[in-house]
Amino acid sequence: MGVLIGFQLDTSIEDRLKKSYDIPKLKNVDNEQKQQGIITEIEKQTIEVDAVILGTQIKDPISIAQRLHFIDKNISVIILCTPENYHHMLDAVQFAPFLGEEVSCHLIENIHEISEKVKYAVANTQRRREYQDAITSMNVQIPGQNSIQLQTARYVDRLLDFAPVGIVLVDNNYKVLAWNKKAEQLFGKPERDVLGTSLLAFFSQIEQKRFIGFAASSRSSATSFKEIFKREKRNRDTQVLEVNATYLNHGTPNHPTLIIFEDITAKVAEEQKRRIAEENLARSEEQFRLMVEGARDFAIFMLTPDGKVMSWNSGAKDLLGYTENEVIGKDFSFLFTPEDIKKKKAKTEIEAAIKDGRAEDDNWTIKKDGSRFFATGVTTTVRDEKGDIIGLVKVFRDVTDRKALEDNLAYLAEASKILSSSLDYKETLSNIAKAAVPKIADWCAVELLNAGGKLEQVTVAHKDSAKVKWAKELRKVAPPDMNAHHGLPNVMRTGKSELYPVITDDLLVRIAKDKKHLKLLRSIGFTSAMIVPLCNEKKCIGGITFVNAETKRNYKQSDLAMAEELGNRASLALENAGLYKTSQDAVALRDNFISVASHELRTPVTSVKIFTQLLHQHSLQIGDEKAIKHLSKMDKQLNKLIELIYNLLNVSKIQAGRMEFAEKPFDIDASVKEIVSVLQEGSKHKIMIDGGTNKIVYGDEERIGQVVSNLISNAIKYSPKADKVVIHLSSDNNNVTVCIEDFGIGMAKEHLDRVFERFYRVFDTTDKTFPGLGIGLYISSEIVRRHHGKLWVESDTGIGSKFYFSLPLQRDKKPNGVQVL
Amino acid sequence: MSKRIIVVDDDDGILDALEAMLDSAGYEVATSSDGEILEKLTKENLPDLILLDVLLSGKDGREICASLKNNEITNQVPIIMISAEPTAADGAKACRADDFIAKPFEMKELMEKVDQYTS
Repeated sequence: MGVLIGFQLDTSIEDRLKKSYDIPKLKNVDNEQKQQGIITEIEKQTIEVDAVILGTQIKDPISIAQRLHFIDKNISVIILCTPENYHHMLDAVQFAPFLGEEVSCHLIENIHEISEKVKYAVANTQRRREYQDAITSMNVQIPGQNSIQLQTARYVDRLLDFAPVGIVLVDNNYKVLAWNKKAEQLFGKPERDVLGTSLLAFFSQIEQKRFIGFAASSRSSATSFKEIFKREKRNRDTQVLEVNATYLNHGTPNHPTLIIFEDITAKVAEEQKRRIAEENLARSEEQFRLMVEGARDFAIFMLTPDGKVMSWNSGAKDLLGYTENEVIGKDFSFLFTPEDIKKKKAKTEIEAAIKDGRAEDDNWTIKKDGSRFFATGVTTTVRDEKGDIIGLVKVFRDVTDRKALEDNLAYLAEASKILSSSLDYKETLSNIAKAAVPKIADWCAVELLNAGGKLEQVTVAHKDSAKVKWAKELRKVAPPDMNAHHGLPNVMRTGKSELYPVITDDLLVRIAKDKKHLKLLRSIGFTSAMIVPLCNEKKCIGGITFVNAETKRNYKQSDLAMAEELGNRASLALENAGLYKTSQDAVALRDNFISVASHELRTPVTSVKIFTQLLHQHSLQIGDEKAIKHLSKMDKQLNKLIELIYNLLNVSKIQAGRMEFAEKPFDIDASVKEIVSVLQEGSKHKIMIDGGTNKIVYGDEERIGQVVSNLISNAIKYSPKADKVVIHLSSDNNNVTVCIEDFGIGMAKEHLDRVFERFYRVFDTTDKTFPGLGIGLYISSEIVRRHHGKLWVESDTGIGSKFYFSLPLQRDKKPNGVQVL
Repeated sequence: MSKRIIVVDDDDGILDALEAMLDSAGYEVATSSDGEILEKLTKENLPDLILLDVLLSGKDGREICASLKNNEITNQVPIIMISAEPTAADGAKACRADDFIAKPFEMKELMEKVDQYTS
């Protein structure tokens, strides 16, 4: 049992500790000299002290603690503090050198805490001391039989605590004999808690076995071992320790082992992170390589900044058909067409990429076999860490099909527009051929059967006009053989289009008429062609031929589908043009008929009129009242007939542009008055004149009179239930206006714009239809128009109509009085 | 003695109508569909008036009119030209016809002219 010493303890504390707890050996020392004596005794090991309690009166408790620990770090030092110096003391303990673990500060009033600490200290110090003894008994060369050696050993002991590695001494059963500060940190337990316990307890069973295994083998061979062990910390984190075990005092039966632990968790984690990163990098590089290689549809080139090929992928190889040797190190301009090379496109592309970081390009690209495909892609720069350009990546793919589809659709749309633009089929077909070049074809020709049943070339288009001339010559020299089993004659015979995706020399040999023809055909350099028929309802009347030559493109089925669609549309247009011509001919025939008919009708009607009047005269002489009545009605009807004939003649004259005007200044008010007086005769409607223009107008009095007369006649005709027609005459500085107002059936809005059209009739389903040819208003409007005037109408169904015409007062006067319009 | 009028028109209907009209008005009428009768005119058998159609089949009334007016024997005979074409008035004036009337016309209208030239 050890001893408990108090230095300058208050009596109250001393008493309470003695009373409250069973600590009989507490010896309080008040005198400083006595205190020194006790310290000396401890140093000399004449007494064994478990714990020293330092009272609040002691001036420098830290130095006493240091001194005590220097002698024996197993002694517990309990420093009592007042509330005033408590915190200061805590700091001092923490930072003072040479203080062992067993120093603690307590507030003097926490008597319970102090007692507990004391109890613990006594028990613990004893236990540790027992192990110390055990180590001694194990023949560990612990110097210390004399005080200098002992002191040196203590210094070493203290210094070990400052080592950056965990240093542990175990016996051959792995029981811990010593444990420095770093070991405490590594394993999370103070030395006092682990002394005498097994070091293996800190490791999992698997690691324990490993440890024992290594230990056994290295012990038998008397070597040290260095291994990595893992353990799980209390917070479940994995700790990685590098363990370096060395056997001391070989040859002794119970020799201890010095084990140095280094925590390499962070290092390992770092290492692992680096390794994973490296693996990822390697993997992504591999993936990238696979991706580049796998991008079969894309050609990918790595270029030097001046455009030499450094590497390429298999997609590029497949697409272009070159071998690697033919490409690597070569300038990438071999991809470009001669036209683009002339335009320095390759150079421009690199410059653009270097300037902007990327350059997009859509080009026709050349394969090894000389054929072309339309490529779309992008060239981007590749820079190193410093930002210097180390190369360019050019990626592109074959979009010929898509491009062809787009071009085909665009062409079809344009062609359709052309077809609907004119009914002159020769012009439209020629425009269609022109539009096909060069996007759809290098050559495009349209041929049609002429009136003589011979195939005639309507048009041939090529972007070079010299070649067009040459082709026309060729056509003359070698006209198509209508019995041929290929080409346009065959297409026309069968009605089926022909597609020649690739024109081989064999084919040329087959279709050539003779050697000269063959030579010519070869010189054109055909690569592909398609021919579609042009047919009407009955038979094929021609065809359109599309040919590719210098651009070396090949037609596909999809191109033929477009061409056939175009053929269909063109055929329809041809048919329409034919129909239009027929209808135009019919219109001309009708106009001509009207002209002739109206002319021819005049003579017999004149004759009939004369006879009627003669009979009328005769009846008057003999006083036959009935005959007089009938004959005057007959004469009236004849007048109507004459007017109709007259109007028909006018219409045909207007149509032919042969209506003549005899213009001079005339008094329009007087003119209107005269017409009214004539029409009033025999009309049940009262024709009233409202106002006056008071102007002299310039024009053909008779024609204007015809307009007035026509409008009044209409007003009467279309107001059968009304009893009047009103004529409003007015003028301003610029115009005279005549308005004929009726109170009749009126017209619906939809007719208002159309009543002035030739042969337009208002057909009303509800009202009865009025007789007429629908030409009176047409003639009137033409007359007014040619007088630079205006004719218009306002009307409401059931209320009536107001027809207006106005004539300008100022216009260029033709002095000779006759104006042919 | 009644006045003599020669009517030239290639249309029988017109010839008949004019003949009937003029006859009933008391004129002596000679008709011709081709105008040959006008070529045989002598000082002795000059008519008092000629009604001449502008368009004859195969012949031009205006040419006939002009040649009559150019002939010393016949140039005093008044000529009224008739046409279905109202615009033919200018042509009639050009060939020195005395008057012009367009078909179809009122009987009264023509009779006024006829009376005017024969009185």
